[in-house]
Formats: sequence, structure tokens, C-alpha cells
Amino acid sequence: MSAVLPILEAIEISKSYRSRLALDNVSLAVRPGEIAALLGPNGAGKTTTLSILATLLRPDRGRILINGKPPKSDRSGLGHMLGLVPQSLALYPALSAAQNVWHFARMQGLSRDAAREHCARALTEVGLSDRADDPMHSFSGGMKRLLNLACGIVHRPPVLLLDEPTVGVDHQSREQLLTRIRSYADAGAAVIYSTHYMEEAERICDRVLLIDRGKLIAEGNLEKVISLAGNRPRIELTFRGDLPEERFAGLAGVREIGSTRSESKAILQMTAFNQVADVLHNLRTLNVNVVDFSLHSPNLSDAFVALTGRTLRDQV
Amino acid sequence: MLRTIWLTTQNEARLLIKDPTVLFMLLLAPVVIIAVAGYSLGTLYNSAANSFRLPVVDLDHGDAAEAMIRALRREKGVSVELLEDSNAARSLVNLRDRTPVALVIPAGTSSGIAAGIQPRLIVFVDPVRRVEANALELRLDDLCRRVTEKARAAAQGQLESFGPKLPGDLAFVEQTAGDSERANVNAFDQYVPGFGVTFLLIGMMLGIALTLFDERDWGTLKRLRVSGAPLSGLLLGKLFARFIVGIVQMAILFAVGRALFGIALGRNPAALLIPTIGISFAAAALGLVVASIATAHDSVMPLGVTISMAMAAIGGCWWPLDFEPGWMRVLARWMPTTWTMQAFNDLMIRHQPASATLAPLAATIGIGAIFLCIGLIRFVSMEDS
Repeated sequence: MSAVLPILEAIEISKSYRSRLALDNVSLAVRPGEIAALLGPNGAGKTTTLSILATLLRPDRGRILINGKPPKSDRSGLGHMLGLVPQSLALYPALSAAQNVWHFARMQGLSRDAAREHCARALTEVGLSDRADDPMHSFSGGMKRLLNLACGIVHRPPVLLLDEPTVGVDHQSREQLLTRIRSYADAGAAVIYSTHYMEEAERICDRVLLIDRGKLIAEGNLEKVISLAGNRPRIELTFRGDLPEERFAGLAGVREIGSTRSESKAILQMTAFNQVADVLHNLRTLNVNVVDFSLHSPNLSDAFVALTGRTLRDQV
Repeated sequence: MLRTIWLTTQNEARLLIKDPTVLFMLLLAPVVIIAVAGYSLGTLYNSAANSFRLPVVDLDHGDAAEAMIRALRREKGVSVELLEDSNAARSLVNLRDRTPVALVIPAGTSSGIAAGIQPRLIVFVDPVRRVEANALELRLDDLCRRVTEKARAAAQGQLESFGPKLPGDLAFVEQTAGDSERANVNAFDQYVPGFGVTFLLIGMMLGIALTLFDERDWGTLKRLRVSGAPLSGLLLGKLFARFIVGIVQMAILFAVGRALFGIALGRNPAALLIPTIGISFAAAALGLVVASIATAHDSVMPLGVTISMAMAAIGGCWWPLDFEPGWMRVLARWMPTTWTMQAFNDLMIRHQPASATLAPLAATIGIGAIFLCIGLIRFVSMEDS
């Protein structure tokens, strides 16, 4: 994969909003046929990164390269290269699905004949060809998201930028979206997929870019980034009553990485699975009534916690 | 750039067709307001349009009083009612409709005139109906002058039987200063273009500014910008679509005005297109300025409506410019509405040739060009930041 030249690169980009540093010296690259997950909690800098990559925002420092060249200041020629699927819908509510896709296809530079052909294909790909003439406002949330994707890929851009495309989408539509995105990348497109759902990143992405508070804190394939967590398993406990202060004293290598008193849950990280018995025994000795527990292999969320001390769902 | 403008114009047309409220604002609302204004304010332009009831109390019973009452009865649109009591006349003015004034001819008026002193008639006026009262007072003033001249002549004749012949009644015949044959104007000749321009301004302000905020809110502006389309092209496309809509709107309003209210379309009706093009351009550009200074979607409506109404009022869309104080008339010279209304009045009321509209057109386009530059620079820099 690394032998293929990147089609889109960000080199040491930084961006501030007044005194708040939103991006701090971030570098990344994405290659054709690859999906790179831009993973981080809300407010980590994902949308700012995508806006700069889409040339909608100018970085305070650093630069971006598309096909090895900086984009022209007037953005001419960018339409063929880039497709953006923003976090919020970017559609005309009064227009039909076909009219929406048609308008963006034409604005991306497609001729009438090409636009006709591409529109039909894009709507078929997202499963909306039978609703092509219905107004967008009559669609369900999931269908709107699919139409949003169709408008972003109608001109078959070599680079696709997706900003949290599955937020607020039902399970079935989400599955459809993820499948379409994966097949789009398999056809040769470079995709940057911004999300705070680590399950989605684990499922369809080839590479992970972990971002937190404007900094890229880890980068690599899934196994490499997960290994940053030290390959330590987790145990999630559900209990009744309060946990005493000295709950895990004396259990070497056991670390509490999260607890919610209201839900009576605690998440512990261990050095090995065989420590489960020790943990449960210790809690029984302290008269903590454990009603349920589950064991987990390390994942991206653990890597994020290991690197930042916070969970991916934390708000900044 | 041209491709972007054309594609954006097409898309605007699609969006407009899908929005019935726009069609209401563009066509139905102006026709309703024009009808209401034209029928209710018609007397501003046509003195015989309304009839008045005039209570008269004759306490003089002399020659001058009789002459005046006879003359008042001959006045068109005035219905004289003789009363005995001044207080009854006064109360009628305050209580009854179509009775803005009452006239009392005090005792000794006729003999006073003959004696060379200056007797005074008493006119009770309802201050709320000042405009109607002024119209009647003007006619009373004219009658007083004529009756006085006659009385003086009669008195002089008795004293100087062999003197030179005295002049007869003074009177005037009204003629129009322009090329129109009609001295009285159909009020709708003023209100159709006036309120047409008002609604054109409101439609442009809201149409352009609100749809730009909509495009931001919908996220479509962001997506279009990623497509590489120049922002100025997108803006000009929107403006061009609304510019065309403005011309069509005014053309339909003139057609409706002709059919329903019998307005004059001047020597060459096609010449009305000239000021229409000017004001559509200026109003579209002003809509972009509003979009660039409004801070949010919700602020477009109050800002746009305030600017539209003020510009229409100051520019003479609702009343003749001469009603305004001097400083406001100076301000009006910087309004595209002023020049547009001047051109419409020249064509429709003064029956001037099309060439009379070229100077107002140049002024309107010039002001519109300033608006366009301000709007483009502000909006583009705002988006880029």
C-alpha cells in the first residue's frame, strides 16, 4: 500500500479559531483504494481537518497537496478530484432526489449526458433509484444520508471526504452506507472517514488516524494502533451498591479506566485474562455484589484511553 | 464562471417553482395592496373622485352669502346642507363621514365686503381628515375670491355710474404641464408601479438574502464550493435568476393593472421595460448587500423589510416626492426607487418618450452597481474567513 503515492496529503497543518488552537501540526496522507479513519471524540479537530482538506478553510500554517500539487487558489479543477459528504445534510429539501443529484453532478463539471448516466448510477448504488422523483423532505433520516452520499460520489471523485456520515442513522441504513463506502474505496478511491464510532473505523477502514485536541496522537493500521494500548484486556463490571475506595488495592496491573456510579458500572484494564478471578474475588471480599461482567479484547477505544487517559465518547 | 451562473440560475428556477409562498408574495400580495391603496387614496390624484357633504350656516342672509351658497351648489362633488345652528354644523364635522369641514357665514359678511372691510368666514375642520379638508378649503378660498370681486364690482358700480367698466369674474382653467391630455390622474398610474416596486424590493431582499442563508443552513453552499465553482459565480447566478423574476413580476403587475384598473401604459408600453430592468438589477444587488450584513437567518426579515419599506417610501413609491421635506428629497436622490418612479411617472402619466427614461436608468444602474460591488466583496470575504 505505501508504495502507491498519496493522492491527498496534509503537511504540518495548524489552525486556530481566535485563541483556541483547533489543529496543531497535523500531517496525514491517503492513497487510492484506501479508507483512512479520522477517529477522535467530538471537538477533537476532525471537521476542521476535513474542511482544510476540502480547501474550504485555509490553514494558518502548513499546506495540502492533491496529486502532489497544491490546489489553485481559485479552486478551479478541484471539483473533479474531491467529493465531500458533510456531517450535516447538504441537500435542497424542496427538490427531488434526482434533481439534487443532477444539480451537484452538473456543478461538478459533468456534461448533460454524463450527468444523466452518473445520476442514475449514484442513485442505484445507494438504493434510491425507486424514490428518485420524490422530494428529499419526504425521506427518512437514513434515506437522506444515503442521498447525501450519492451527491458526494455522483461525479466519481478520486478523493472522498466523509464527515461523520452515519450520525443519527438507523442500523439498516448505516449498514448500507458502510457497504457503499467500502465498495467505493475498493473501486480505487481514496477515502477519509471521520467518525467517533470506533466500531465503524474497525470495520471498514484500512488505516486509523487517532486525533485528540487538535493533535494526531497515533497513526497506522488497525493492529498497530490497537497494540498501542499494550494489548491489555478489559473487564466491564455491573454491580449493586457502592464501590469502596480500596476496591482494587493489591491487584498488580489492574487499572480502573472508567466508572459510572449512576449506572453502577466500572471498566478495568488488566495485564492478562487470568486476573479476572482475582478481581471478582477481591470484590466479593469487599461485599460488592457483582451482577454481571463481560470480557473484551483490546480495541481502538482502549488505544485511545491508553494514549489520552480519556474515552472516545468524552466531550472536550 | 458563465457555466456556474447558468446552472445556478436554473436551480433557482427549480426552487422558486416549488415554493408557492414566493408566488403569493410576487403576484397576489401586490395586486391586493395596489387595489386597496388605489381605491382608498384615489383623491390624492383626482379631486372629483370623492363627494363631500358640506354643512353651511348662513347667519348673514346677504347678497354675498347667497352668491357663495349658489356657487357651492354648482361645485362638483360637493353636497351643500343648509343649517340654522353653528353648533349643529360643528358636531356634524366631528361625527359624520364625508364631512371634513362645515362653513359658517357670519352676520354682516355681505355689508362688510361692500364697506371695504375684511369679514371672515368660519370653517370648522376635523383635524383627523386634514387632507380632505385641505381640498375643500382650496375650493372655498377660490369662491371667496370670486364672490369678493363681484361684490366689490357691484358696490363700485353704484358709486361710479359713468366710470370705467369693471372686470368680470376671475376664474382659471387647469391644463397639464406634460403631454398628457388628462388633467386628473388615475391613482393606479401611481400605485401600480409604486407598490410593484415595493414588492419587488421586498421579494428581492427576502428572496436573495434568505435563500443564501438557506444554502448555508442546508450545507449546499459548502458542497458547491468544494465542487470548485467560483463563489462569485454562484452569487451572480442567484442574482440573475431573481433579476429575471423581478422583470416578469413587474410585467405581470402592469398587465393586471391595465386589465383591472385601466392604468395608462404611456406612448410605448414596451418602454416600461427600461426602468423595470434598472430597478430589478438594483434590487437584486441590494438583496446581496442585505445577505452580507445580516448576522443570521432571523435577522434577514426585519432588516430586509425595513430597508425595502424605507427605500420605497422615500423614493416616492407610496406618495408624490413633493410631499417629503427637503432633506428627504436630497436623500431620495441616492435611492434607485426615486429614479425608477421618476421614469415610470414620465412614461405613464406625463406621456414622455422612451428616451426620457435613459438618465433615470443610468442613475439606477449606477446605484445598483455600487450595491453589487459592496455585496460581492462583503459576502465573498465573509465566506472565505
